[in-house]
Amino acid sequence: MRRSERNRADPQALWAGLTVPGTLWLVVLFIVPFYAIAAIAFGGADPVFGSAVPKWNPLQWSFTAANEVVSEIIHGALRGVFLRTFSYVFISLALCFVIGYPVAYYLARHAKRSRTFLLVCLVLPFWMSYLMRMLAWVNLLNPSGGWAARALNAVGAPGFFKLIGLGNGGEVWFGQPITVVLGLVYGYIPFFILPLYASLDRIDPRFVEAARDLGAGARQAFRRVTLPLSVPGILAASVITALPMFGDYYTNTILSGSPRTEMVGNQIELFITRSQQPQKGAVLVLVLSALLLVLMWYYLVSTTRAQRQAS
Amino acid sequence: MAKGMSRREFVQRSAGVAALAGIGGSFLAACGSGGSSSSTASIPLARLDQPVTLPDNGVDPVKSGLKPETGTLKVLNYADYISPDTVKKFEAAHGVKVEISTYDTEDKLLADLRNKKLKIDLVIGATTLNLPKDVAGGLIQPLNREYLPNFSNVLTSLQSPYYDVGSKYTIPYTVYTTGIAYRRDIIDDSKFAGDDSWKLLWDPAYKGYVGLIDDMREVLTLGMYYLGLHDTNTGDPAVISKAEKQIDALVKATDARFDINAYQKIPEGTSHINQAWSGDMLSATGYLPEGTKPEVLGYWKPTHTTVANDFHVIPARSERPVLAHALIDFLLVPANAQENFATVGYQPAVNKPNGPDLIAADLVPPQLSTSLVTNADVSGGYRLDALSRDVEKLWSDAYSRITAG
Repeated sequence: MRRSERNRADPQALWAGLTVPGTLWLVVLFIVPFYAIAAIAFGGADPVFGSAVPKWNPLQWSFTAANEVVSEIIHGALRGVFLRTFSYVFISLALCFVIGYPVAYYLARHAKRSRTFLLVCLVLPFWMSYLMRMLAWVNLLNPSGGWAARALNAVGAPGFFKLIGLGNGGEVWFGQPITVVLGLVYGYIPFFILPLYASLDRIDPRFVEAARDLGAGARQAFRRVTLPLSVPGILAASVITALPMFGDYYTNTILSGSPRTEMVGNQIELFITRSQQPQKGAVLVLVLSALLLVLMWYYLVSTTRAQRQAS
Repeated sequence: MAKGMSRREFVQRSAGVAALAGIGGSFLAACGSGGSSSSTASIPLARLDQPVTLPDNGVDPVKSGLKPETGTLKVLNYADYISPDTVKKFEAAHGVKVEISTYDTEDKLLADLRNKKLKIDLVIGATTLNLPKDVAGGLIQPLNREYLPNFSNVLTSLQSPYYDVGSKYTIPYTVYTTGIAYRRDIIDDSKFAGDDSWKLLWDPAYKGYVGLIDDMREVLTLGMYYLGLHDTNTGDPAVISKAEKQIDALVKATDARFDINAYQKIPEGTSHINQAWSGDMLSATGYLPEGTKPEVLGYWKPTHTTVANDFHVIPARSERPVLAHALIDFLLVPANAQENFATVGYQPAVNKPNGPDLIAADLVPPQLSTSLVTNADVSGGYRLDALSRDVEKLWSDAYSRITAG
C-alpha cells in the first residue's frame, strides 16, 4: 500500500522538479529586475553624480516622483501620451486582425504544399533587424521620391487619413499618426499571425465538416464554429503583439519624431537616458506594467472561459 | 555615416546629465575619490562671466621627464569620432597599439569612469556638463603641460576656458555652433539676412519640413532666442515656461520633428529647414543624393549663438598617462588635425588649420563657411553649462511636456 502511494507521488515530484528551472528563470529575470525598477522608482539620487540610487527597503521608499507622474497622467501632459499610446496600439491590433486573420486562416486551412514556404516567408522579416526594417521605410516614405509616399499620395490617402483623424492631410508622411500606426503593424504583424495560425491549425476540421453536414453554409460554419474556436488564438496573438507595442519607442522615433505622436515608451526613454529624473522613467514603467497587468488579467479570464465553453 | 550620429548623440545625451547637487543650487559638494562619500571641497558651476579654476582633487599629475609607455593605449570615445588613418599614424610614430572602446551617452561615460574594473587611459569627447563631477569625484587627473608641446595650437579663445581656467584638466578637441541648416534651392539666402532668422522655424510655409534638435537645452534655448532672451542657463521658471510655450507654438504651426539627423535630412530633402549644429553641415555633403550639388546646403547663425566644445581628459587610473598626453598632442599638430577633420566632420578646436585653411583644402564648400567657428564666435557665444539639480528639473519637466505633445 505504502509502495503504491509512493509510486503515485514520485511522478508529481518529478513534474514539480521540472518547474524549478522555469521558476528560477522567472525569479532571476523578471521578479528581481521588476523589484529593482520599483527600488529605483521609489529610491533617490546620488547627491554628487546624480545617478539613480535604488532603495531596496520598502520602508525607505519615497513617493515624490510617483506622485508627480500620477498627477501628470491624470491632469497633465502624460494623459495625452497614454491615451495616444492606447489608441495607436488598439488601432494597430485591429489592423493586424484584419490583415493577419485571413493569412493565418489560409495557412491553416488551405495552404497545402506551399504552407512551409509561406511560413518561412512569415518568419523571414525576423532575420532582419527591426531597426533596419524601420529605416527602410524612411526611404520608402521620403517625400522626395519615396515610392510608398508617391503611391499613397496618388490615391488620395492624405485626405482619407485626415478624415478619420489619423493624419494632417499633408503629403509628408513623417510625423503623422497613421505612419506610426502602420509602422507598428508592419513591425509586429508576424507576432500576430504565427500564434493565430497555430491556434487555427489545432481546430479539428471535423467540427466544420459536422456543421456543414448539419446544413450550415461555408460562411455560417466559419462564423458559428471556426471563429468562436479561434478566440483564444486571437487573444493570445493580441497579447503577444500588444505587449511590445505598448513599450515601443523605436517606431515613433524613426518614422515620426513629432511630439504629436509621442508614445509612453518615448517618455520612458527620455526620462531614463536624457534627463536627471530616472525615477520618473521607472515610475512610468511601473504604471504601464500595472495597466498591462489588467489587460493580461482580462486575457486569462477570457481564455479560461473559452476553454470551459469548448470543453 | 555613423560619425555624425555619434557626435549628435553625444551632445544630445549629455545635455540631460548636467545636474549638480549643491548648496543653494550652485555648488557641487565634492566627494572622495571614485565614490560619493562626502568631502569638504566644493566646485562652483562655471559660467562665461564666472570662470572657474578647478581645484586639486587629490590626484597627482604624471611626473615630468618620462618616456611614453609602450603597449596598448585604451581610449574611450564616441563611435567614429576619430580618424582611423590618424590613429594608424600615431601607432606607427610611437610603436604602440590604440584600442578604442565607445560610449554613447554622457551618463555612460560617467559610469565607465566610476567603474574601477574598466581600464581607460584617455577619454575623447567629454564636456563641461560632467566636468565638476569628474574632478570632485577624483575620476580624472591634472594634465602635465610638459607633454603637450603643441598646446599653443589650441584655439586661442579656448586655451584657458572659463570652465577650466588654465586648462588644468582638459584640452579642447572640437568646437561647433548652433544655427539653422537649410536647403538653399528651396529657401532663398536672403531670408537669412538678419539676426532674427530663428523666426523662420515658426513659419507655417515650411510645415512638414521643419526639424529641431532633440535636446532639452537646445530646444528650450531656441524658444528663448526667439523671445530675445539669452540667459541660456537660466533657473527662472517664468522664462523657461515662456520658452516652452514658444516651442509649443512652433510645433503647432509646422509639425516640427525632433531628432538629431539634420546632417541626413537636409541633404536628402526630407527637411528643408532645421535647427542644427554647425558640424552637421560640415559633414552633410557626404549624404547628398547622387546628382545633388553641395551648393544646395546652407547654414545660418546669428552674430551671437550657442557655442560648444568638447575635450580630452585623462582618467585618474590611466596606466599610460604619458602616452595619453602624446595622443592629445598628436591631434593638435595641424596636419593631423586637418586629416582627422576630413573624417570626423567636426571642426578641430585649433588655430591651424583654421576656417580659411579648411576651405582652401576643399574640405568645406565656400557657402558653408558660416559653419566654421572663429575665436570671435567662441568669445561672443552663449554656453549651455551644467545646472543645479533643481534648475535641471525645471528644464527637464518643460521638455517632457513639449515632447508629450
